[in-house]
Amino acid sequence: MTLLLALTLVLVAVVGTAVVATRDPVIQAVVASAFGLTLALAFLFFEAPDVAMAVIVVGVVAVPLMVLVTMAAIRGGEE
Amino acid sequence: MTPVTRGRVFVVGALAFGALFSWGIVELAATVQFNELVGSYYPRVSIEEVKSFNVVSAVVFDYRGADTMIEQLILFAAVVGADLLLRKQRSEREELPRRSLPEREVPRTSAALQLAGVVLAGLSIFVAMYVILHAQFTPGGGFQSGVLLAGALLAAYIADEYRTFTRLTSKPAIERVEAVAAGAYLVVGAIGLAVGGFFLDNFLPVGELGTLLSSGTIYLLNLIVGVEVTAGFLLIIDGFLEQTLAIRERAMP
Repeated sequence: MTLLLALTLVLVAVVGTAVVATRDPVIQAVVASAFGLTLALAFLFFEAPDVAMAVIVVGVVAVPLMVLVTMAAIRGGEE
Repeated sequence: MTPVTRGRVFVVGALAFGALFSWGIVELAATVQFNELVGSYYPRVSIEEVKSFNVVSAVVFDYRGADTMIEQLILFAAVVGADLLLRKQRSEREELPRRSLPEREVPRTSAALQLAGVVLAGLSIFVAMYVILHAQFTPGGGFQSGVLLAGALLAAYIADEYRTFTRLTSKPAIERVEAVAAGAYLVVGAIGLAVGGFFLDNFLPVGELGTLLSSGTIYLLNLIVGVEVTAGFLLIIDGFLEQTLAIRERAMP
């Protein structure tokens, strides 16, 4: 179990770094969404399923959606 | 401000913050002892006292119900703020989303995406109902359920188009539902004050452990928060979609 927790934390760190390293905001939104999933896994393994559910809906769905829609709005204005 | 000056200001600020922060942490660690009495009290009594297997729900909606009230008021304020920022400004005009214009040929949504959207919407509604009705047994509650329900309608937009989303949701109605739900939490708290003697007192019968209608006001407050969060997220999603798809800069005369 300790190994699983350690692996999850490493995964969170790696994907979190990937979010920062991604420069294109549109791709970044998708990567951030994947980061939300790894966070949800971490919360699940640390026995906090309530927080995991909140992360899934907010971090995986809501925030990336808002970034994508905002990007679409900005690009639409440029046309 | 040149980058060098900016860097200097940052270093000074960071050092000052670091010093104050470390000082605060050291002081805090010296004076505050973790009160294990409270920490072990909630899990021990929540099952007996308010008949909730889910200690998190018992803490969030009963023992710390006032905190949750403030949180849902924060969400309410955030939704109002987002709605205010995303409204149609005087320099903008509203038009039909381009893909809805009659003369425009648009590629149809692929069958795979439509199917995925419908399945996702159905599943989301199902899970949301389960989560909110079992808040006192299993993880989750009003907040999680509310976002899931709003997500189901979002899936409908993804599977079809913007007009489907607006057809399924009436903005004035959702605005009222949102306001009423935010107020209802305060009303439940006030009834607790009148009946039980203190704000947000669990005045309803707590029922039997493990039955659906148990845990008194925890159940009621969960439903209220669920409705409020659903309405709030729908308003935010609608605001963003409308801003992107239907509102354009007014052409300069």
